[in-house]
Amino acid sequence: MRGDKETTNWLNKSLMKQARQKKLSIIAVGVLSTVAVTVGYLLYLYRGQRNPNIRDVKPKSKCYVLTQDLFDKIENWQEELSKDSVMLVLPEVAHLGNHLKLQLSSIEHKIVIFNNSSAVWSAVRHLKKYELVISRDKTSDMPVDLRRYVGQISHI
Amino acid sequence: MSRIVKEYMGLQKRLQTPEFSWISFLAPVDDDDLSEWVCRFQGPSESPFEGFELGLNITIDLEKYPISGGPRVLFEPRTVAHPNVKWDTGEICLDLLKDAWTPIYTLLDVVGAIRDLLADPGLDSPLDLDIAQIYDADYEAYVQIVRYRLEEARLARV
Repeated sequence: MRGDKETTNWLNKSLMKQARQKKLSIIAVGVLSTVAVTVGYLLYLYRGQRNPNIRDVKPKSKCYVLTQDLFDKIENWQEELSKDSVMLVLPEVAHLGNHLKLQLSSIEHKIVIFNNSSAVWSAVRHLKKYELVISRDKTSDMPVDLRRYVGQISHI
Repeated sequence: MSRIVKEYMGLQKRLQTPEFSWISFLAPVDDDDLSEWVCRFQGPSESPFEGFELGLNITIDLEKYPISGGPRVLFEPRTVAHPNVKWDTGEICLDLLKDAWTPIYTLLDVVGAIRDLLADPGLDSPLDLDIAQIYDADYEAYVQIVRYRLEEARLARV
């Protein structure tokens, strides 16, 4: 009887030890996975910072994508465009672009009016300004890769 | 006498003819070294480049020119927005500068071909894909982008 009890105790201890080891293994795998994902993410961020698309961009340069909403919110376009800035006018608000070109004749070359919306995104990629200023409701129209060509996206 | 020396000697006379009145300047950087040249010329009329002066940097391998290779020609970097010009470097994609080069061409032919390319881009193999897409999809916007870039470059030089 005693022998059976000792065997049972030994078996229980052995099973508990195995369970503990399994738990430790799971924790170790979890920790290693977390470390690997974190390192991968940091490398991804680092590569993003080194992205040649935006490497040489002046930090204060801006590209405005003009919508009615944005036009209403900014009062002094002369001041905004006097810096290293450019305005891309969406086809649906071309009349606002024409109005601004007349009003700001000395810097009218900084206002680009589009007839085709897809060409606007190509222009954002080509211009590679640091900050893209765009209405929040237009963000969903942006191609997904656009974020690689600007330093930051702002909504006014 | 090498071919480039002959070209150099006849150049100033040819530049004074009406045929090349659109070239404001084409000369070596240093008279004692004919491997580095600069050129300034007027953008072609009836193109987005009309009214702007453009700059080229020309490098000639004196050992190879003109038999085994033509000149290496770049626009001033970050000046010319064009489907066949790399914006950041000014590199030009033109057959005559690569496979189509033959020793019958001269520096004046090269500059003329580059000027023609400005007015009539090739969209089959663009160096600047985004500018090519704008050219294709919205020519009026392309004209404005080209002129915005040129105007900014001109203001930066002032």
